[in-house]
Parts: sequence; structure tokens; C-alpha cells
Amino acid sequence: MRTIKEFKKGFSTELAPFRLVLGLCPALAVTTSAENGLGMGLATTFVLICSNILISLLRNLIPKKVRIACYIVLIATFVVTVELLLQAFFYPLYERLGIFVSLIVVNCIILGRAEAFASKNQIGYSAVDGLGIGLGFTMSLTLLGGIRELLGAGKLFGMAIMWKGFEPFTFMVKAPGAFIILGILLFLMNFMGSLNKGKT
Amino acid sequence: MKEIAMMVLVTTIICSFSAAWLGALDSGLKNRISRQQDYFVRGPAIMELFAGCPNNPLADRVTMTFGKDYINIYPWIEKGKVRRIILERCGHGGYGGDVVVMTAVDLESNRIYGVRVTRHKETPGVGTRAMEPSYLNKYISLLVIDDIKLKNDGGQIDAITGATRSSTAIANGVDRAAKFVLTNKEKIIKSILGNRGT
Repeated sequence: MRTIKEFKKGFSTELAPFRLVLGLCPALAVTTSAENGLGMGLATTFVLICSNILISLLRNLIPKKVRIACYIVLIATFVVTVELLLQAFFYPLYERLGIFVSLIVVNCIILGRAEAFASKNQIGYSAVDGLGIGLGFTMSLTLLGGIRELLGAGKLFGMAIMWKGFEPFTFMVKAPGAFIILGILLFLMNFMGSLNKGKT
Repeated sequence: MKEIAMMVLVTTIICSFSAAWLGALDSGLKNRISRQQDYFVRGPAIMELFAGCPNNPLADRVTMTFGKDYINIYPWIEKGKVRRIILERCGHGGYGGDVVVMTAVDLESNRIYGVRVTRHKETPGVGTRAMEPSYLNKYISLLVIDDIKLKNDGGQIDAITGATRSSTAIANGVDRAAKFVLTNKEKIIKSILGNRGT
């Protein structure tokens, strides 16, 4: 039961960019298309699951005073692993995500989960927590990227799907578009949240 | 005392395991990554520079050592003679560090045949404006013998406004490639033909 609960919270109460408002740097910067959002999300999920498992495994070994340093070393190791794997197998995606792959190291979601969850819970729960939060993050990034790509380029995952003669809002794929779409999504989330609260 | 020893021990062990793992992974994937770069970055740039080349410049590549640097050289071979070469060299002084520049040199006229940028960490939309072919084509037919510099430094090439440092790094990369060709021309031709013969 608890496993399901830990998994589901990543999509509802602790949905990273929209509910916790964490991990905004990649959420704003790389979501120029649905594919970029998906790639970034999956890379983060991989790092999150690996770091959660390892930190949970070592939680009784790592002395309290140097825990943050140890977590960062472990996280950085997985991030460089992802970077090398992306270079070796998905080079075009690596080129598009650019510096933001290395910046997963300082993504606050990952250190946040390590500190708040993995360092206090068993391996199984930590892995499920990483998977849930990671997939929630991936979903949000893909959604954000999808909306921006649809409005900004008239495409979705690189396929043209808008009607003929559709004039793309080019600014949606530029930096300001990210803030506007994120703001609207946050508003919708909070609005729906307050509606639900009103009912009960 | 025991606590401090424990802290040092644990961090050391974690760091050494990380280093060992990453070292192993890097050497394991090195060839694959280099092949991916050939396919997605170097290949297209070389094809653009050497449109109509009779041989495959990637397959005939030679690597020469120059001081501490390794320099990749891609030849255009026609009727058993090396007509043109592309050199890959870093240009120093970019905003985000070194910029890797591919410089094609025509060995008959000793002039620049074309320039492309393959790897860089410059700001997208700012520094990258200095990497558009329309700008890089201004280098074409400059003499290898001259010092290739920006006009600000007393040279021949205009900098792109707002991207002076990226432009400087590219000019530096081209200049270093030209200097290398100038001093090592015979050696380069020899090693290319030697490589092909075997």
C-alpha cells in the first residue's frame, strides 16, 4: 500500500515543477519542444532513481556532517554517467540539451529527495519515490514543452499537426514564452486545487 | 578524532569509487562517442567544406601530434596528390572557453578554402551568430602566410557586433591552423600519403 502511495504523490501533491515549484531552471530552459522536455525529464528521472537508491543504501554509513558533500559526489557521478551515455547513444539530443544535462547536478529536486526522503527511508521506497517524482517531472516537462512547441512552431514531437496557414507564435519557443505558459499552468493547477477544496 | 577519521574515510571511499567508475565508463565509451561526433558534427561540416571531394576525408583522416596537442587532419586527395586539407584546431579566447574550428586550406594556392565551427560553449543566439556560414565565408581565400586576425587587432576580418570574443576565438583557431600548415606542410602531406599507402 505504502509503495503505491509513495509512487502516486509524485503526480499529485508533490508534482515537482507545478506543486513544489522545484526544478524550474530546466523546466523553463529546455522545454522548447516536447521531445526536449521528455529527454530532459527522463535523464533527470534516471539520475533521481539511481541517486535515491544509492543514498538510501549508504544512509547509515555516511556521517551526518559530510552528508551533503557525499550526496553531491554521488549525484554528480550519475549525471556524468548520463552525459556520457547521451553522447554515446543519443548525440543529437545531447547537443540540444547542451549545458543543462550537466546542470542536473544542482537540480534541487534531486538533492531535495536525497535529503528529505532517501536518507530516511528503505531502498524500495526510495526507488519508488524517485520513479514517481521523476516521472511526474518528466510528464510536466513534456506537457510544458508540448504546449510551447504546438503554439510556437505548430508541431508536436516534430510533426506538423496544426492546420494549414497557422501562424506560429514564435515567442512561445523563446524564453518569455516559458514563463507565460508556466504561469498559466500554475494558475490552472492552483485554481483546480481550490475548487476541489471548496467541494470537500 | 574517530569521527573525523570516519568522515575522511567515507568521503575518500565514495570519491574513489566515483572516479574509478567514471574513468572506466569514459574509456569504454570513448570510441563510440567519437564515432557519434564524426557522424553528427564533423561529418556534416566536412561535407559542407569539401563538397565534391573524390575520397572520403573522414576515412583518410590522420592525427598528428604538435607539442601537447593532437590535430586531426582530413585530406582531399585527387590523382594521388593532396589538394586540400581540413584541420581541426582550438581557438582560444571564447566567452565559454575554447572553440573548435575546422579550417580548410588549399595547398596549391596556400589560401583558406573554408571555415566551420564544430564544438563550442558560446551563448546560443549571441556567440553563435559568429558561426553562421555567411560570416565564416569571409575567411575564404585569405593567405596562410598572413597573420589572420580581427580588424580590431589589426587584421582582415570584421568581428560580429556583440560577439567579439566568439569572433576572436574563431580567428585564433583559423590562425593557429594556418600557422601549423605553413610550418608543417611537407610533413602533413607525407603522413597523409603514408597513411593511405598502408
